[in-house]
Amino acid sequence: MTVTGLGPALLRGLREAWQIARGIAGERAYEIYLEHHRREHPGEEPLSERVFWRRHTDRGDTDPGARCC
Amino acid sequence: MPAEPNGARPEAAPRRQRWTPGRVALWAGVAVVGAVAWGMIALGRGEEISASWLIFAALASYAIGYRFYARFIQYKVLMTDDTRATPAERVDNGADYHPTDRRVLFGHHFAAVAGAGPLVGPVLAAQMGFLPGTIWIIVGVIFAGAVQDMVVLFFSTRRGGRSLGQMAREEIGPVGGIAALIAVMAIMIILLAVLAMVVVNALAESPWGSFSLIMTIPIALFMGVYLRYLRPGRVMEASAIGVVLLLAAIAGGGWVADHAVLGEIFLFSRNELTFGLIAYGFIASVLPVWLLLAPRDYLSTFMKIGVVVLLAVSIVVASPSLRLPQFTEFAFNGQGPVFAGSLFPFVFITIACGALSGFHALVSSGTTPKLIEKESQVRVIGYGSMLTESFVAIMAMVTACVIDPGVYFAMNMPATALGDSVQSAAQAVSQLGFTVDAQTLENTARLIEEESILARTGGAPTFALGAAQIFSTLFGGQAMMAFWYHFAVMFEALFILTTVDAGTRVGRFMLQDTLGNVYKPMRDPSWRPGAWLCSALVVGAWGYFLWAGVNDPLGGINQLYPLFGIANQLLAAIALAVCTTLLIKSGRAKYAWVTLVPLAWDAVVTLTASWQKVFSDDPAIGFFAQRRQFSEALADGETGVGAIQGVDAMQKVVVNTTVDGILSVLFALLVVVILVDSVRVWIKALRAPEGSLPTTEDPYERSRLWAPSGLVATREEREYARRSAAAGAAAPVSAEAEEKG
Repeated sequence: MTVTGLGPALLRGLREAWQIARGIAGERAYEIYLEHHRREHPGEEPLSERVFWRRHTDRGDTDPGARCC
Repeated sequence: MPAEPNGARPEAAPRRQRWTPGRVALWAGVAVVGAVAWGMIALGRGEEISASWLIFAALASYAIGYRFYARFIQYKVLMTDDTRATPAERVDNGADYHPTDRRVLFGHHFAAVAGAGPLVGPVLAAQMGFLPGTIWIIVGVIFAGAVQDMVVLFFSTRRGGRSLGQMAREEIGPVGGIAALIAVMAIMIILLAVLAMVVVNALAESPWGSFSLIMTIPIALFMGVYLRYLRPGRVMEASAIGVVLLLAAIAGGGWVADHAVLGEIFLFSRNELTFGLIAYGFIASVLPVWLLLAPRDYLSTFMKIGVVVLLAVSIVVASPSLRLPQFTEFAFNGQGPVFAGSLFPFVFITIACGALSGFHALVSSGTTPKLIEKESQVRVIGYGSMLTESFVAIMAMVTACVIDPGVYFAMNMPATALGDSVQSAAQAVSQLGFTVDAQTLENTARLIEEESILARTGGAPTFALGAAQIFSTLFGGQAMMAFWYHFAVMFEALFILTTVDAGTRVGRFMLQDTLGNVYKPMRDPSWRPGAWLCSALVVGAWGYFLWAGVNDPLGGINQLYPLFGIANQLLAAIALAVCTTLLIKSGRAKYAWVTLVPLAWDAVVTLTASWQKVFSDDPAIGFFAQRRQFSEALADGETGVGAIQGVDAMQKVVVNTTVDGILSVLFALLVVVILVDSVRVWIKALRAPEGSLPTTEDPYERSRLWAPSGLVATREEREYARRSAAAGAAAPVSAEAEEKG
């Protein structure tokens, strides 16, 4: 790889790593919802970010998910 | 629905990886490094062995297991089929079903399966020397633990993400299903009690530790409010703020401990902490999730991944020497002071998480299969995550073995065996053959700014001391020992508290669901009276074991930890029985040994351990023998047995051994029931004409997604992705399908 090619590649790698970290933290939930909504319900107004997160978190009240020792 | 072995499609045939000279040299190199490392740790004599060898032996073995054995399971046994749509792709509802990037899912799955378990077991097992535990952690994970996680994940993915309990009911029968339900409930209660006891033992009489752990509650509340009202969805930001506050709380703890008034306020006895935890568990499980549990979860995930990476790097760079021997005499005589019983079966019971943990089957069925993109990814997600957890267990083993063996025993023996001064403790430990003087014990306590290090059982303080020793050689030297010690205690206590909170909630839901069969409104999780009642019942159950354990004259960890191990292995028996049943039913009987061998081993270990716990004549091992010893002494009007003095203490022993003994019997019976019921189904399946027994596999649906299989995409995969992007294919099909077609 040339020196000029290294910078953008490194940047791309870092950006990808950041997105993975955000994914693991669960921060991409709204983006995922928007993508899904655009694909499955085109034309309909999606939930606002605030309302989405409220519902997203509150789902935990009825479905705690499995966690281990 | 016919049990069509769908995996047998031509596209799913293993893509032959050509053995270029480079590849051969690479794997030969890995094998040589592994062999040398194993040789060093197993045969090294005289000089102290560097912990790096343990790390290298583990990593080389994992690499070979992952590349060869897991690959064999993936292609030959499971026959994963990437042309087949996974539930994530089929259902894709934008919420719990959603195709998730494999690297993200790996992080999720790892964070969900790995908790405090792999940090505790190896520390306790170190009393037998480092070799038995290390061999079991590495061999166990390659042939049992990781296999279980991967196979359960695969079968649950083929079944729309069904839970282990549902699969047990549908594939084995109602008896297996009920046994699974009881096992899950029982292990949950014992697990919560044991983990809470670890926290109590780590924080008792320690204002520094108590202060920083208590501070996590306001920090989590702040994060909760932040994410709810200030900046919804900014998880990374909120977690980063949380971590900074957490570090500040740990640093502040040192000041609080030295403060005349605050130092007193945050000084708690074991019983105060016990009731504090019980109250916390109840309140946390009925509060809305957004306020406490969700932010706590974010914080734990952050800390978990961060500290695991930090510890791995530190061990390799600092390369400390192992000071415990390969074997101690306790491996053979069963007289170990940390837990009683000989190497077989008790090492395999004590170390569950990290080698074979049935609990993982609950995560591998249910949550992860609804998110996985491609069937072939079960190898990296299921097998790979478990290998990573095993590596955490190896690191915990290292932390226990780098500290002075005398200090290790002084920290892990029950208080009654040590007496009440450093002099008596030093004498008791030296009698075991590990010479230590009172001065060393005192200095160690002073170094980490704790009142005392005696009888700090439960693993967390030992892990923290070892980790602090390793961290401080790299960062800050002896002056930072106290900070790193409390940092490590905090790290472990933080996610134990998260588990207590989440586990109580999970237990509450299961109880509500079960009681819902009798009284309908119970089923509704938002019905407050039901939620409160069931939370109180669950907290009451683990709270009882916690209280009894904390006040157990013989040491709660000593008595309860084996029960936890047996319960966890019992769940593994259920998971492996379900896997074996499914392999046989789906026409893969030829390869059923892949899960049958670990199942047989697990059954032998669990049943032998239960047998000894129930029938052993040695009061140190058998619960009922111990009960007899104490009740006879009481009947004879004696006021003490050995180090246990006082009628009160003796009566406690009688009650606790009765309860623990009955539980051991229950667990053993459950294992037998599951085994008998599964064997019945296996025989039926083997006799029936191919594919005539019903199984619940979802019908085949062609996948329209494509994704790489491993964590890092191979060159062919990257090329394929580029080509299909260039061709503008809206829905690229499987790489294999294209190559073949």
